[in-house]
Amino acid sequence: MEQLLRSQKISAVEEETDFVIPPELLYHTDCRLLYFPVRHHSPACSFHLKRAVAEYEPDLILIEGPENAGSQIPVLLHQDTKPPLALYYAYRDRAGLVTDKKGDYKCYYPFLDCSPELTALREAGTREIPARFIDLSYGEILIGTAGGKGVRREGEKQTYNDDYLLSRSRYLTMLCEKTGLRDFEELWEKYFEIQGLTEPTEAFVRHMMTYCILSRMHTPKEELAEDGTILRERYMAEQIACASREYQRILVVTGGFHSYGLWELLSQEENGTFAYTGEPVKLHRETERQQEVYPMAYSMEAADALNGYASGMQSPGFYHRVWRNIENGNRTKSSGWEEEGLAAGTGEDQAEKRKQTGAYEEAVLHFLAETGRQARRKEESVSSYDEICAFSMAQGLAALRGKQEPGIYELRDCACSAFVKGELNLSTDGALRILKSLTTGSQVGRLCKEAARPPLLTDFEEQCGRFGLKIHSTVEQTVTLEIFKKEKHLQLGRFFYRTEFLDCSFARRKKGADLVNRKDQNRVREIWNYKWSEQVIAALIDASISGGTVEEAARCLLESRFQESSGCREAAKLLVQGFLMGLSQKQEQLRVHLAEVLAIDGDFFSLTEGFSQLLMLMELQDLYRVRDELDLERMTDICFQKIIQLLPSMGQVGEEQQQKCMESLRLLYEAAGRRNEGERKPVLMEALKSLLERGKVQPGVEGTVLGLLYGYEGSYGEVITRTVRGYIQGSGEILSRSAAFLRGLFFSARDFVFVSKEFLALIDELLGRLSGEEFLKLLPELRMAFGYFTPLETDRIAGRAAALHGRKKKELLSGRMVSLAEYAYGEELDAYAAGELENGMNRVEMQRF
Amino acid sequence: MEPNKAIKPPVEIRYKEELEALSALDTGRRPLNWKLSPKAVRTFILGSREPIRYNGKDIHIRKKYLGNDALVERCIITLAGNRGLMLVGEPGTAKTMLSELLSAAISGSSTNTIQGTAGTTEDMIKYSWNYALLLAKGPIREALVPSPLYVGMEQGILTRFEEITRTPAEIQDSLISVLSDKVLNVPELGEEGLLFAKAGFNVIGTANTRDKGVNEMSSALKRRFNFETVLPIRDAALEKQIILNEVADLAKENQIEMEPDEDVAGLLASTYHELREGVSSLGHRIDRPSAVMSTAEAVSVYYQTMMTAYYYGDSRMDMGCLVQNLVGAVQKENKEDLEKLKSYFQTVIRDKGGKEGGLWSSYYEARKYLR
Repeated sequence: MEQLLRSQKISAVEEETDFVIPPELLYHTDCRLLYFPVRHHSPACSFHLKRAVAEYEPDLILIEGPENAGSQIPVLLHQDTKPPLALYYAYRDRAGLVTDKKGDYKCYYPFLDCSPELTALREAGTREIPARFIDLSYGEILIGTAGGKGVRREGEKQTYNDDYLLSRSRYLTMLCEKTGLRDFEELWEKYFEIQGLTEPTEAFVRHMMTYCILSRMHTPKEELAEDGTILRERYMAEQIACASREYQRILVVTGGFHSYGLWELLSQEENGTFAYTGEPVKLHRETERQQEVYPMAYSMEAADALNGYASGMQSPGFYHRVWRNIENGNRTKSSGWEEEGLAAGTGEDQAEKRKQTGAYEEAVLHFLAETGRQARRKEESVSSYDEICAFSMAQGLAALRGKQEPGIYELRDCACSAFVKGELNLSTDGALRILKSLTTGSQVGRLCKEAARPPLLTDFEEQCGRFGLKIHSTVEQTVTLEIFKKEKHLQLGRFFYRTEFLDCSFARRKKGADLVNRKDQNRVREIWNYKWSEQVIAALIDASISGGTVEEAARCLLESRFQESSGCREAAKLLVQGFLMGLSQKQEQLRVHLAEVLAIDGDFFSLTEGFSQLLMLMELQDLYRVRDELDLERMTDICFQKIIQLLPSMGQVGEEQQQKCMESLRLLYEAAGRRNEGERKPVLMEALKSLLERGKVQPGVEGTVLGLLYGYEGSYGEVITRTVRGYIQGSGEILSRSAAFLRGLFFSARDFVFVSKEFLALIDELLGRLSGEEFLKLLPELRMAFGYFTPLETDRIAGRAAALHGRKKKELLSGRMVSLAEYAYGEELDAYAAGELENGMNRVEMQRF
Repeated sequence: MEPNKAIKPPVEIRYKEELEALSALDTGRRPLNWKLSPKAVRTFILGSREPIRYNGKDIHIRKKYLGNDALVERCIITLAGNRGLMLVGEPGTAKTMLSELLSAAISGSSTNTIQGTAGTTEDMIKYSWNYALLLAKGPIREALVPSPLYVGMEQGILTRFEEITRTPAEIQDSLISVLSDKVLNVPELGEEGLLFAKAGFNVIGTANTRDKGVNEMSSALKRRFNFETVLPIRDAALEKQIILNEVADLAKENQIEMEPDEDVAGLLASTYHELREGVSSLGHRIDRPSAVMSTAEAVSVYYQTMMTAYYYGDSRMDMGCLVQNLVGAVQKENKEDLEKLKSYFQTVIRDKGGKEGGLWSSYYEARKYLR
């Protein structure tokens, strides 16, 4: 293989070896079956495919794509439909054929204007010949793919495209090294996109086949079996064989990687038809009912491979521009081909060549100029001269790298050199960021009205109509809801919460009670902003896998998240969300899971928060008109018992958890105090007492607990005073902990300062005993402790503190009067200094001359 | 210049044979006054896989700049254009070496250089006078002492401006009109005082971004340059290769007959790489020293250890000596850096020693020299 790669050009690879492409895979227009290899979103493939259709004149076009999307072809070809588009496939594995988990799966099959598959469909439409998708349905592909491979790869947005097959082989790594190119994308652009445009279709197909077959030979068969490639090819070959009995001239458009695999599985009979030589593919009947496919408007941003969640070409905006240039026959004047003799030929070929060359150069020039224009608008320093230098550099780099025209790599390189002033970092790469977003493109696709819609989308629009929401404008709207007064407002609020839960960026609560985060709970009205956009539709189609109506989808998502929740805090938060969405009915499953979560959760903080949320839900049921089916009463009891068991050991938490513990204790006290029957409070108080009895309690926690006990039993005032005295009179280490104790105490019972006559005197004593250094050390904690008081209370405390030192409150605010003589002396000093400065300056000036 | 007598012979002498072979076999288009075509310059710097046959000999063009190939290509194209080239980046990222390679390949000379310092004055950049001649004969060309910039313009060759940001901003600005108008006016010479730059002239500047005592460049001057940021090597294996190449060259030049040890170079590259990146190959988070952990420093540490082994030892790399040299390189400005290095040894090197043993264990044992 090393020898095979000696050449610098793909075209020479085949010449130097005994490698022979099967003649059936070469470009002939007089055969019954023409294999046309493509790469998704490639303008050069689209360009040659168009030519191939014109020359070969097929009577059927077969395209690689899940066959269950066949019914969507008319939508893709409709004149009102505009790319970027995607076919959205969803599969519910109810029968557990993919894994035992019986999960839901989805993936996208994006189409851009320059996608060869779309070009093939359009050409078939223009010629009024049939076109079909021939791959297995999405569900079948999933079943035939091993976990973590192919369409079951994890950690990214799934697409049906399988371009990765071309870009990962060992052959490619060697080829890049040999040709001095950075990666597969650069290699592809140089040899197939730029050079490919000027080649005859026959040569282009031959080069594609060479590359793809060599890539295939360097990919282990086991890998191909694992990612479902072999199975898919068997099915596609079956479909081709079947079609060959009916049609005479069939054009097969598939990813280049598959052509060889298909060819191996088909043999031509004497009567000209093709027979399938592989093992028949067994389909699963159950999959049909469990899968759906919808067309959806897509965006360039989502289609950009650089964004990491799509396979296919990077920078689709750039290649879209190139495709437009190819289609329109645009060219730049600067190239000067006439002078270089490129236009020396005659006839149509030459005219065609002129049309193709320049498509990339024009795109580079366009993006440089547009980047400059936008950069100047954002006050980045990019001048027209920078653009000229950059363009000239792009041309120079293309020449140095042996490319016929500058491509996306030269565009990025020249912008990096000419537009960045200084070291490349966040403050200087503004122009590069603009260029990146421009080359990604901002177009959003559009679907015709006849396009199939998932029932979820229809339900969403019906509900919007019922509530009188404006969804045919992209202007943000505001509604104010009086949810406790009007039933319709309550329902609309729930609808908004459901769309928010489905994460479709439609509605956002601007004001109103936030039960999830326990803020602004006193608000009785809710103000919502909502805005319709293409993204909302895309997100709803995405969510349609979960259900046919907004309510069903939200419920399904809630249940699945609830099943995944592991702690009481998380589960209770989800319950609050369900409560707000009005999904409190039919919750048997949730109840069982909640009981399980409560049984295993051993985290005091999580249980406390969950307990408080559950109590809140019980209280608000009537107000929000929700019927309890979760048996909240029992659940809170279980929760409380667990908390009481854990509470006595909370005195020894680490210092970093002290604040969290103080907050939890106060929350618990408030929650327990809410119940009318008063059963829980005494139990809680006993638990708090046993916490203190265990000793070695964090001072902040100790202060909080004593404050809470004081609130329950006034007699604890004495204990507090005693404890404070103990801290104050303690040795150095103990003394330094007194401020934390005060913080805990004021956190739970700051009124004690005003009730106890002795208390302030004690604090005064503490401050008196501290040295300057000790005081500074304690100051941050003391500040926090006194921060719990309101301004009025601080004022009162200051007054009493002043009285302890025989002063009045007012005296604290005024200082000593300044005498007139002092003022006069000050002014004199000021004038003297100014005069000296002036004289000094003059002396320096004199010396200089 | 005789190659064996200079400590560091210039690039055009070190690679004389390669340059001659490339020039003889170069068929590409050359910008006016360039010694090689841009493609041959690229080959000279980035190497060629196959040897080239010249004068009956196979000449291997070695890859001299390891790192970002696209950056080298951009530099070459910039120099063929209207703007100067400014290489910026942290110290020790081979900016100077790249500028030398470019000058030697393009103009055949890497020595036409202005060394920027805080004391650089405008006459050092433009021209000064031989005062004896000036007094004797008046302001004539003969009495003028041309600066490297003057020479570059006059002969149509590249002028290198090292450490440009060390020069005061107002001095740097004297380059502005030269770079935009490509003309230098010597008023003292009267009508003959206009020096128009010959084709082939351009300026390669280098500037550090991390050192203390650098001056910011004016926007006007920045506009006359294309900037290329040279980043530290991100790949430890590549860094090891650089250490080996550089040390082998140094040893050859100084007639030290000792082969560089690949394992020691790998160990040192890994140390520098991990301390610079702040994370070890085993996943430890590391406190980064404030000292510059450049590949050039690693080369110097290795070479010092090698010399000690050659002259005082048994021609074997001693870990203790390596660690001592490492301390010298790391502990420069900040005392805390030594503590950081100590804790790096206590965690990362300890674990590597435990896991891999051999060289790593003796490296760990040499931690006693960290003081």
